Amino acid sequence: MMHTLDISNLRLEYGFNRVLWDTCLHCETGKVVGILGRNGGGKSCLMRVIYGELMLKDQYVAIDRKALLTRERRPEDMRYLLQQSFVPLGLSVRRVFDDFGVDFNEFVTDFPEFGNDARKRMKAFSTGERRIIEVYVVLVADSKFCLLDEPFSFMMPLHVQKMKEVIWREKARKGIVITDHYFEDVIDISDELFVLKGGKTWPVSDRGDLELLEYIKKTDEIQY
Amino acid sequence: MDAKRLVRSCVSFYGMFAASALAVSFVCGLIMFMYRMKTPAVIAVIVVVTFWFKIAAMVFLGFAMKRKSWRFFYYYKNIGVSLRWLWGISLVFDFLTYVACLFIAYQLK
Repeated sequence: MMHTLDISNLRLEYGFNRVLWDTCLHCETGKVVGILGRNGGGKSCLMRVIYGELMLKDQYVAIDRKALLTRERRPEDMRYLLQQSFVPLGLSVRRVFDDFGVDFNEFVTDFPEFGNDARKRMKAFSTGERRIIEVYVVLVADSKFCLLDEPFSFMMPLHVQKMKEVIWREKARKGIVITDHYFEDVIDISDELFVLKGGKTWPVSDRGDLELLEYIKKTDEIQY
Repeated sequence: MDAKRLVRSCVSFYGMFAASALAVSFVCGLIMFMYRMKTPAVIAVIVVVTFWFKIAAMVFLGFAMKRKSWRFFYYYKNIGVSLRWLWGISLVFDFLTYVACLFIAYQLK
């Protein structure tokens, strides 16, 4: 079933710094929307607004054209991967998968190295391994939309590639909004790509646009 | 909301600050134990003082959790467990441990 997520009219300022200004975004089932931007550019704020953690005046966040007017978000509607590690360290892996309603055996098929770790507690894992589990459960759990804030942080390239495959697979049944500084990976998996600059979302299509928006430097301008 | 998931979540949520919260309840019980043989007026003063001590400790723990463990709140929101329920049930249970400690300490001979 097709679902839509619409965001518009977001305005957020800290002093003279316009973090979000008339920001708008659209996502739907089957699409991966990538958001790039500088540090402090408002990417995480945008995610928090969508997830209801930050309420702005006049904001419009709607799923299937039904405005979400409170801070409450149902997991069936959307799930949010925080930039920081967010799973309590005392929980076992099995418990985390159970809470999210995700099949652990399917996870082991994708990441065989976790085959014997079902009973281990989260604190027994490295930061990167914890990140894999967190990204996977948020991504695969049932919901209409999925917000991923820096999912590739701390992951080794092999796992990043595998996770991109999981994102490709999961986008068939949900809409995904993703932001990360590993822009090449984000470009790879995104159907639509935006740069958040000056509080606005600028649609981009290739590296040239990223250079124009001063998100990356031209290759021949880099000095070693 | 799934009852099993709510109970499990409450246990793990309370587990994040259980050591400090139970220590405060235990200290209140210890004070009651030390003065349990005194007159009813002294007992009343102990109850009032430990009550406000416990309340202050609960408020402090609440703020400390919000500052230190805020990111874990997203876990519970992600699995559909309301934070209001978690806080409500945890704090009521915590207060009951304080009442139980006072009662047991008063009854000990």
